Amino acid sequence: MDKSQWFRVWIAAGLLGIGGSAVADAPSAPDRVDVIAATCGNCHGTDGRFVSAIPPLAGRPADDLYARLRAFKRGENDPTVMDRLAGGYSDDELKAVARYFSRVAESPSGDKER
Amino acid sequence: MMSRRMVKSAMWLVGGVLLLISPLSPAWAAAPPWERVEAVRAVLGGETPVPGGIRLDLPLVSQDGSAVPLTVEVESPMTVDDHVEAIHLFSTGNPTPEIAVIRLTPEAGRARVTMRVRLNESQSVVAVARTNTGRFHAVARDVRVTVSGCLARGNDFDDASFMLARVRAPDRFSPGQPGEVLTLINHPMETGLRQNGDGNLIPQRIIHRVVAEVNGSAVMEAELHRSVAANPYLRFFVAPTAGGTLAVRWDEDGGESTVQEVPLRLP
Amino acid sequence: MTRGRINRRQALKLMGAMGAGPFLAAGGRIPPAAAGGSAGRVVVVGGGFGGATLAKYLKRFDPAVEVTLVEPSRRHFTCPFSNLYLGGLYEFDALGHGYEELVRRYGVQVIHSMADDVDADARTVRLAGGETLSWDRLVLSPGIDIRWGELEGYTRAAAEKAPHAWQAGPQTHLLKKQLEAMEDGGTFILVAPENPFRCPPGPYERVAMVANYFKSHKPRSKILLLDAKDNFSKQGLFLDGWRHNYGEMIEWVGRSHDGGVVRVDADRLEVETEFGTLHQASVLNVVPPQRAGFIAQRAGVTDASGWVPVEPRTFASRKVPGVYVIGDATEAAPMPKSGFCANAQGKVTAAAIVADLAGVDGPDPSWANTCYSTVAPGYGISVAGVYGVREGHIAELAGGVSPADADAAFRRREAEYAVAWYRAITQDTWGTA
Repeated sequence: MDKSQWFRVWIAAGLLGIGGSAVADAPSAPDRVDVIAATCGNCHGTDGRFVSAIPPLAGRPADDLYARLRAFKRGENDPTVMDRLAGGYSDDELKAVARYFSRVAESPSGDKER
Repeated sequence: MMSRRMVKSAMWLVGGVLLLISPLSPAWAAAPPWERVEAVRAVLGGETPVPGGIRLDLPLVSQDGSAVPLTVEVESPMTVDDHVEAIHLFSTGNPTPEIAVIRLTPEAGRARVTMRVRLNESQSVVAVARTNTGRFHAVARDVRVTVSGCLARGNDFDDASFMLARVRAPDRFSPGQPGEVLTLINHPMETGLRQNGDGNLIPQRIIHRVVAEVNGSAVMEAELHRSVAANPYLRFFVAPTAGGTLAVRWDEDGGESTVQEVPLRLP
Repeated sequence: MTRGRINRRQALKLMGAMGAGPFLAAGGRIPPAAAGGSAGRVVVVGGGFGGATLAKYLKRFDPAVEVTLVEPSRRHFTCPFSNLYLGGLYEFDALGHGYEELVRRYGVQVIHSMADDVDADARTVRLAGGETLSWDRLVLSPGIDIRWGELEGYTRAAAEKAPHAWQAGPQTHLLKKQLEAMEDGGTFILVAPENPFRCPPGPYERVAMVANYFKSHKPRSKILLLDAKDNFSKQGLFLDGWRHNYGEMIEWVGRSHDGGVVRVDADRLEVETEFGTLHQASVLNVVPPQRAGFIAQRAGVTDASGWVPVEPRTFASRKVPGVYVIGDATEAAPMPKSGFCANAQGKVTAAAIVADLAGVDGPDPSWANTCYSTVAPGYGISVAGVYGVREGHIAELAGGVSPADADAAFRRREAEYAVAWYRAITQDTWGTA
């Protein structure tokens, strides 16, 4: 795990209200945000970098991603499946996932460790 | 857990009577399911079931609560002196507990019945059998019902096939040896608890009786309730001692009836 | 060296100082990895959507874990999109995915062999060549096996005449060849099984894709789908889609209309239903009853149903400690047996194993699924769901199917997304979009 990932874990832990001690006990264990973000890779490619008819997520501003996810959850934004999926996550989780992808470089070369 | 169940049941129930005793008290939680349900206690009439002698097969997990396969079998010689007279099936999680009562005579040859039932949610299903000697056997099985997201409901009942009935018996019997009979009738089994598009209740309309006769005498009589799946499917045994005819009659509470006859061939 | 590894080692050291006693007492856990420069050794059996994803994400979550993937094939051909190949909409070659990225980019050791036995006490897996691999944690992602003979007359030999094509490869080619050899005006019969089975919408997409092929090549042909169920996945959407695209070409007969097949005669391409109706096919495709893949039976993780009961949070076997099972082999309802779910389970279980090896609790799981079905070119439908653990069971937290009243543009977008999804998930699983 590199420093940027570390930073992300702490941010995510803070957003989800996970106690600092839990993280200290499990320094290298992936957390719930890692798991949720990994799930997105299924349609958006690993790290949300896959470019196709389904838009990539990597490197997009967190506020923009979060706004879109919130809109999907309300059935807005002309969704096909995202309205059906977004309802499965809390707003805090959507916010953390948006932040996760905003911190991923758009191409692998920008983030060699991954 | 309970509050969620109550809400769901109340929605499905609409004016029916919930016969479940509250499981909130710990004593109830420890008792076998057949002691917790009033309708089951009524059948037992204070008697204690003897252990074993009955098997209830259901899937551990059902992905479609609208038609869960169920088989019940009671160990019995099925002689005039010692036979199963009735098998009662109960749901502990549906709005009404009765599923079906199957009445048998020694001519059935084997006390085994297969059918498909409706289960509203995860729950215990209970079977109680009574013999002609007054003995009771009881068994309960837990079923998890997960209405999979991959199982969206399809279209409604196909009216063109209403009361279309099918029977299949073995090609040949050995005298006195039980052989399995398959029956199926197309019927919506309207529960009376479902609303139409205007929000009004669709009246109950169910097949409530299936009778099988071998050469004119009843071998099996099933009393069905709303928890039997649409298009009632029933498998049971007959053990004819002579060739002749098996006649199966279905009666529904809307007043319709139909009869199907198949030949019984012996060597 | 990264900071994460140092901290993990410190944590291990700390736990070592406490001894194994409190560890076992706390959660009945088997001990974490006996670290010898490695964070633990994990053997993964099966390189499909589940196993390949798990191997990759184990390495992503903790590169210090040694990961060995055992998979007989050098290229995995996927069931998803094999129906589109039958329908003439996708190349067979594009269904094959290799393991180069897992090896080169992620450092997964890939052994192309068959695992033929598991010793859970010695913590070893025996390979077909006799070689033995030892593990700290074992993951089985074995997919399905056919229950040969469960449906009367449907044996291995019968499948050479009446293919199942439910494991992509030679069976898929055989079915395609038979469809191409069939004369116009023939009858294609598909026999669909009871739940549970791999890919719930699969049989219904398959008849649509066969209809798509017939429509342009053999328009006088008929399709009969004999089903052991009265309800099926995305039923309303499929029935509407079939009618909209193919008129009356596809006839579906449910269980309550005597659609349940009880006997197959592969030599005569004939099937018999529960109530004795005989149907004659020109091409007969039997999707037979299934169970967890062979190695799951050998490892002793299956139950009487033939499938594998697992702990919902981690997909650890409920029967054999140290063994995890993911994908179609598991009892994960309401999650369907889909490639998407296997991939999602691979990620959650990878996270759980990294935590387990470090001797800590893993994160709360979250899985998702989207099953696209292509009914016709430019006509797609889907079912989607998000899953979590509630009251000790896997539960669907959100989801649903495409709207029944969606317009043509919506169906077209979902058909496009189906292709984009397939490329994305194969990139995410094997790195081979």
